[in-house]
Amino acid sequence: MESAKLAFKVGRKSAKIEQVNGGVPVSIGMTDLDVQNIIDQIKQVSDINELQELKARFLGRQGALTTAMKKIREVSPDRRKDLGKTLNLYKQSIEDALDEQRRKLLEEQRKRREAFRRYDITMPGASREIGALHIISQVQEEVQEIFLSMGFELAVGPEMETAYYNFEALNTPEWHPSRDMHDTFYLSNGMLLRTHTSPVQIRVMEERKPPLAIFSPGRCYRKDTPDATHLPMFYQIEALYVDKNVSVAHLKGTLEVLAKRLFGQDREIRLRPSYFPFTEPSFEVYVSCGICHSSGCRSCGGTGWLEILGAGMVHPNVFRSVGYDPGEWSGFALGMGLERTIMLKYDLEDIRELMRNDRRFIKAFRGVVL
Amino acid sequence: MRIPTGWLKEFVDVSSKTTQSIADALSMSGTEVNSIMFPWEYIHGAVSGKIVEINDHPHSEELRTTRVDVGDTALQIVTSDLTVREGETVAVIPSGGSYEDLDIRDRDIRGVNSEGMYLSLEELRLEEDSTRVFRFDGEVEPGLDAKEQLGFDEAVIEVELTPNRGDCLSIKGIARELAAFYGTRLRVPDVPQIDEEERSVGVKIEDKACYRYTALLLESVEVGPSPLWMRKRLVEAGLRPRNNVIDITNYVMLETGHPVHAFDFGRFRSNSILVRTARENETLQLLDKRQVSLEEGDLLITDGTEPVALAGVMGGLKSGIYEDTSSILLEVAVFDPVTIRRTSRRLGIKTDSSYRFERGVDASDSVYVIERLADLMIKHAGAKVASKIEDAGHFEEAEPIHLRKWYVDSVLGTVVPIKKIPQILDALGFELEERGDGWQVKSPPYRHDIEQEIDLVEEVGRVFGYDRVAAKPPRILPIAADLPEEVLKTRRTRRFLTALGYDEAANYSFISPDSIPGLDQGEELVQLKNPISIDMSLMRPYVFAGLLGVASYNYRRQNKDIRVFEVGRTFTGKEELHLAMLATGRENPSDFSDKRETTFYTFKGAVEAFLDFFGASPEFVQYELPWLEKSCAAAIHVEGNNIGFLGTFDKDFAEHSYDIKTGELFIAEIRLDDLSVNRRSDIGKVSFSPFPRIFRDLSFIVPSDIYYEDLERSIRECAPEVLAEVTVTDVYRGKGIPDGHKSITFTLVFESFTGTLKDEEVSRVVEDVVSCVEKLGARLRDS
Repeated sequence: MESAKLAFKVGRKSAKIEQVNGGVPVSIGMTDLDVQNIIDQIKQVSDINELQELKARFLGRQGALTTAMKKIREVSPDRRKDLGKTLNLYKQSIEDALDEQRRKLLEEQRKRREAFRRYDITMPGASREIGALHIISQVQEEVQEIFLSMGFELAVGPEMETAYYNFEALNTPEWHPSRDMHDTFYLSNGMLLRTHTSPVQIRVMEERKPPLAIFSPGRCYRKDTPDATHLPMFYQIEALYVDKNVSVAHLKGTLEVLAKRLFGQDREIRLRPSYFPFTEPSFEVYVSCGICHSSGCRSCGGTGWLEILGAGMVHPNVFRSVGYDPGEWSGFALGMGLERTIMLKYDLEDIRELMRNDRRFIKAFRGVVL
Repeated sequence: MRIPTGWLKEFVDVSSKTTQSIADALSMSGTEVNSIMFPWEYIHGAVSGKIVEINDHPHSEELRTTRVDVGDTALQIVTSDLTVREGETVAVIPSGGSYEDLDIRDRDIRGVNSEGMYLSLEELRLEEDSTRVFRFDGEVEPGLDAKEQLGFDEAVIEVELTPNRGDCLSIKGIARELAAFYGTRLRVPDVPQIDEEERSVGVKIEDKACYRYTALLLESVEVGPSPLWMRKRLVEAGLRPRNNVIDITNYVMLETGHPVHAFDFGRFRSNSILVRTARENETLQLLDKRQVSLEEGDLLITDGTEPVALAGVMGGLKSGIYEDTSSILLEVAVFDPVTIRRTSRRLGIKTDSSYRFERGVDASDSVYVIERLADLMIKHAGAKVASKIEDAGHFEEAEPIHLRKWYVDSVLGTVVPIKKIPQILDALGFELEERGDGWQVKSPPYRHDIEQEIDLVEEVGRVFGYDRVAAKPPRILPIAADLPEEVLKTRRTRRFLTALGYDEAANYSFISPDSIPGLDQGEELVQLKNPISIDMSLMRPYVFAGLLGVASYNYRRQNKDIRVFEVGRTFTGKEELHLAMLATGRENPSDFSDKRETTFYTFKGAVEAFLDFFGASPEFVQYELPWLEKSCAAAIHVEGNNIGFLGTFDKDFAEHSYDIKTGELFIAEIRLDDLSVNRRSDIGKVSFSPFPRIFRDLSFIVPSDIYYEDLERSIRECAPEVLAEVTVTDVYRGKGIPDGHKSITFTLVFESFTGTLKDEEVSRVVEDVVSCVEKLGARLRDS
């Protein structure tokens, strides 16, 4: 690099031009231009920035060739044309040499770059971990979306409730055996923990006139000792529709939409008569088994159907307790437990897993719904 | 409740149906079937055998060697029952069969080969302590399937009844359901007319909670074992056979649904029955030997002087049936369901009797039931009728209900053929009379659940079948309702925190009072009055309590890099919506290029980012809480309200109670009720400068006890509005910095809304800033 610079003493003052064929120094007046030398210099350059420097020095505004070009005016007119031609030729040769060297250097650079593998593309990325939503939240939001899309409105209510809203207004008198269906937690402040989300029905109906279509998700509590299929706290989503001439057919239609969207389009539903104090008729709702499609297999216990929720037509006594005329209004209500849905959808055998919060369990469900 | 199918078939003709189809019919008409079971499943290969030869055992006087004909062959079997006789028909499990977990094989019994085993009544579970070989009553051909001969191969259907259907708590009740479903008739066993005696046992009802009381005195009763067929059915139904008198009362209860009772009349102090409410301080020792204190409102059966039974719940010990009992008073009574339930609940005593009375008993057929009892007592306990049938009280027929045809169709959402409705109701025992647009319907006396028209619609629907109703989604009119704030906040919080790398946990709303140190600090705590355990006895006043458990659980499983949150309600005087966050371990465990551990600063950064997402500008104020390290605890203030806190959880407590021994556990709790979901969306018109920004870094050496907050305030106060932002880019202690000092590098960002700033302008401001900050005791660091 040093030698290249030293060998290039093309000064403005001492320049002298001699005409020669390619490679032979040319002198024009005070300027010397040794093209062969220049090209040799270019060929020796090993750094692309230096090449840029050389280009400026020869071809730049104040470069040797440019200077020589300017000096052409000092040459006698008869020689001017030839000299011009020669200089252009020289310029071309230098440019070609520069280009070639540039290509060569770029190629070398690329080869060097390619020889040195800066990144091991098989290394794991320096990842940012995205947190996982608990599967209960995901399924809760999934069900919420289904109800919202059907035109139901979301309502919430307190978890610490009075016996009136949790039982009496729901046609469950204090000494009725149906209270055995709900083993209740009582609180030091005189309230109880709601055993279902149904009290929200009452609270909304007390405030509003029909028609209405609401649903209410939330935590509920029953005094069950935790085991593989029971928890003392669970998540319920309950829906209520009140209008004129609402029938079991409408309930079935709604359940079908819910079941197909939640469990799969190929699923069917079936109602089995049951009993809840606040609905009449009442049903346990079954969805066809996703494995055997209701023909019966081991995973559905041979029945072909899996119980997913409870539902029914709103009991006239419930309407009476909120001041709706049961002769004019009718409705249906349905309530589903999210844990049971999760157990069915994801083949979960022990419900307690949902409350253990093992990081691996939570992570396993990342993005299954949301 | 267990329904033996053999018994059921006496009441309804279902001979052409399989057990499974009977179970399906019950299920689809509202009686849930839990399982189909076979009580003698544990016996395999048993056959009938005839004992043809008995010899002494060569080496033992306690054993006999027998030969038994089992049809195609004769087996040699050693038995310890010395009473076996030639010609008796017994049940044998030959080698190759099995009993419970035991495979029956040829076995050497003290030098004699035994090729099977005889079954005893105890092994058949029909009698306790009965090791004698079981003998068939009559002649049975050898080599037949013994279980089949005894009917021990019959299925038992286990049903779960809903609380409204007290009428189904019997064989008769279930048979009635099936008869209605299949359109056949119920068959009830006939009882012969009994010859009543002149004698009268006075029965007096003093309390209206006793609707009806029917009694009959029997004498010369011989207490002993009940017949085998009866014991078999009791066993199938899940009851333990005791003696003939008790077995008969249980048998009739299972058959008819009437809880009936038999008193030892010989132990009565007075010879009559008085039904009354309990007096204060009265006590009674019950059959299970429990001594109970009675209260007014508890209904008692007394012998006119003292209580002999807690009505509808349990008999008294003194007047119970014993081996020497010879005169018994039969009771068939009907009591008020609420009265029975109150007493049963208060005392915590739940019996087959109280269970049935709570759900309502048929008050119309008491005389039939007592006759059925008497008939069985006469046949199987040698009893003789010794009085007339006493029948006090009464029963009221139900008021008719009008059922409109169109109403049935409108509720069910289908057109039920008009003939179907009376057909179904009639089969269920209702009486119908056509009137106007429908029928006047009278409920049968056992249907206490039928109160209004809708109850009748349900009856029609469940038998008609809901599979025949076509689905039709409703047309719901859309309404302009916003999602509740709680839902919006919860959703946004979940999205944001998962994006920050936090996992979501779900914990119980109840916690252990010991989960957080110093909890009783003025919070209005809510306790559970009847918790499952002390660990679940306090309603959570903070959500972070549960996260500590989550951290501990994962920590113990070597998941030590934890970032977790929960958003949910807390319970004190009111319900609030809280977010709790917890972090410990590596900041970015899946990033090999980021070796940082979680620090207060990284954690606070996450909290700040969250608050910023909700448009809140927090201030962090030095704070003290019993569960946070004093050196690292801050209150979060937003618009003057304390909305939560963050800091390092008490290290000693973390180690002792949660087994977290290393590292710092950072926690934060934020009351979301105090944040607004709309603040971000309400920012109005957005404006920003189009001109380039100028950046200047300034490093100061400052005494360690100067708060950053004061430095920043000082910078902002002395800079004109062209100072757009102040941020920290470095904090450094160590080489080159004097003890008790630290170096802080600020990046100041300048911009103007009116033009491109010139370097000189900025330099002047920077000089002002430097002199301001130096007044606080800081010194510009030489660069």
